[in-house]
Amino acid sequence: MLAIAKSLDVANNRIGQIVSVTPLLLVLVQFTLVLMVHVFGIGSVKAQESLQYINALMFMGGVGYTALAGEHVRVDIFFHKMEQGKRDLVDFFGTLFFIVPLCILLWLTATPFALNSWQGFEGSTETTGLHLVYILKTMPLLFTFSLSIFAVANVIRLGHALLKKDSGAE
Amino acid sequence: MDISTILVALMFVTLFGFLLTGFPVAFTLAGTGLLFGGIGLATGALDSTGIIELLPNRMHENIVRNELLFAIPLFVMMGVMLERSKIAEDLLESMGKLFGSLRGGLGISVTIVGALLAASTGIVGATVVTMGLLSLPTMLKRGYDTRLAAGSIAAAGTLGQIIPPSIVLILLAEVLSNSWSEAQREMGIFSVSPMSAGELFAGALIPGLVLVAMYIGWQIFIAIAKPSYSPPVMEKGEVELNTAFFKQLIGALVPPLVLIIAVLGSILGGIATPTEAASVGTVGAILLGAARLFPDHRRQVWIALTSLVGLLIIAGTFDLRMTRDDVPLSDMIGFGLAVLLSLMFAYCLMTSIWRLYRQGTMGEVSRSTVRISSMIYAILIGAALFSLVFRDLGGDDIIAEILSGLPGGYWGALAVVMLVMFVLGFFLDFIEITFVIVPIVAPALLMMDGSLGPIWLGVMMAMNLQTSFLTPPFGFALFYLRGVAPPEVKTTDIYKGVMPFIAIQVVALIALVLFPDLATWLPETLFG
Repeated sequence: MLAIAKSLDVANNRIGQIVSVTPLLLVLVQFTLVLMVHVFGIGSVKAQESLQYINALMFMGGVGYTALAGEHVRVDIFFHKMEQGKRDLVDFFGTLFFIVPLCILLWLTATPFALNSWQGFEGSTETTGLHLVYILKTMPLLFTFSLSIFAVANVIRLGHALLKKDSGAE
Repeated sequence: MDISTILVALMFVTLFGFLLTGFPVAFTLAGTGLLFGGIGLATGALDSTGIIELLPNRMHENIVRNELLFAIPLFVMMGVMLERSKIAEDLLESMGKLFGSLRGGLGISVTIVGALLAASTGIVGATVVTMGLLSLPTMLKRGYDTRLAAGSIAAAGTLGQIIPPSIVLILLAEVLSNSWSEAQREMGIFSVSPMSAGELFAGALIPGLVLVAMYIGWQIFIAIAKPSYSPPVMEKGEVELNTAFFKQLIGALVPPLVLIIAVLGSILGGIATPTEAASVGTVGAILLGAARLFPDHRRQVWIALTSLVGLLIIAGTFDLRMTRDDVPLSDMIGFGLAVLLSLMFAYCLMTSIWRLYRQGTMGEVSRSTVRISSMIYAILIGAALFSLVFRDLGGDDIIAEILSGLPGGYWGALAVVMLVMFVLGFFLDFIEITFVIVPIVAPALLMMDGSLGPIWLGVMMAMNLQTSFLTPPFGFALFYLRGVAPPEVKTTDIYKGVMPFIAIQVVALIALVLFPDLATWLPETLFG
């Protein structure tokens, strides 16, 4: 079981590595647009819209990676004083009762949301825009995927740690 | 009381209970929203799951497609870059040397650097930690009063909330502009007048500077009234104020200052949107970072900056649109020059990025940016789910009813909202308050008679939260400082040290109430 958790973590870290090119890409595309618009007086709806894709890729793909790094902000008043076992307990039940249902909801709702858009390959509302809106509308599934593999790995990892602690105490 | 009212009240209580366990805020918001969606369905308070099913749609329409929010990763990256490339550190060190031989000098330089760093990063934690690590030991070693030293650093760190371009103000502007349109529609105004992030930046600028001035004033007052509290940190003549020193000072001070002025100026001047300005700021931070870390690369950075200035001059002089029917020769030459300069700039920028990448800083900065931005976006998504359910339960109507039923009309309602936000600021970060509380209370407040408009309200909220982050026992800035302060600084020292600054904050808040022009004059003048 722990091996599964480990490989899911590897996958999430890999996604994190991949999406970490997006901030720089976002800067460069937006900056190029600034130069084009403010210096050369030419705009590009395609480039403008591509920012949505880059940005969405970043935070939809980065959610599990961020969770794995433990960087989702917590209310730290009591948590930082807790011992490791208690923290694991909070994280175990939190993952099970908050993140897992969220993932289920998103799998159930984001899948038809994406499929609807793929039917007929939905395009941009702007005629000169990027006609890849079906890809953009698939991004919530990336969020769901990234968060789901984190949740499964986390439940396995923490469940294991809690069980071991219990049996060790007896 | 009907079932919805009970559920709405329970929803808040439950949220706070769960948040206090320390589970990540983003998922606690989503989970509580789902839980109460389920309870609502079970008790019949909600009649369908339609609302909850809207979540992917909300993620797409309100978050993915929201161009203002692109400014978040950009500003985060700019701040992380300035921090990792040690530009912030240099700034603090040089300012310390400049003012070091004066009584109270280090306290003043901490305030100024806090304001400057704030303007460039807007992340409270980062500023407090940086200054806590760098300045606090020096201050203590040189005999500063422990309380004064700790208070100065914690207070200066929170300036990042209020001094534009801060991330807090961007998020607040996003939420308030929605509330403002909603309020206007409710009042039957169909030609809704919008509120932009630039206007909120303009509104926060003067109050922010007033705060900085008051902080500095306090340092000067202490230096005169209690000379032993803030002694000079170096002997006269320890640092020679010669050309070499001034060169170093200018080298540390001018680049970040120019960067901040360029970013802020272009937003306030209405030339660029916050997102556009943020990308320029980040490119600037990348160039400065490369110049700081690789001295042999400075010439290229100079070339890049010179070409950029050249481009601006050409853009102002010639008409570079080449798609016109008849392009005069002079414009063609200008266009050619501009293309040449752009290529030179692009080359120098690329080599800077490449060197930062090879050395490792670029990767670190990028990954850190992904994590910080994902964290903020995850809260946005969690809060979206929470407020979908909250609204479907009729929560916003209930809140509006409560607020308008308070004695004292607008001011009574405002006072209660401010008090609630202040207390919540002990437990929650500004992001959660902005996304959970503000959208619920702001439309109701903005609709009431006597409302001073969204900009003034936004500045009040930002300053109020800033104060609460400074207030013991739970202020966020105090936690961050506690984390990096040496053990001989007692927690009570930190608490007592921030008291005068809290008093200053309260005075500033009162001033803002008495003279609303402080917040509204500049945006009106700039944006009409």
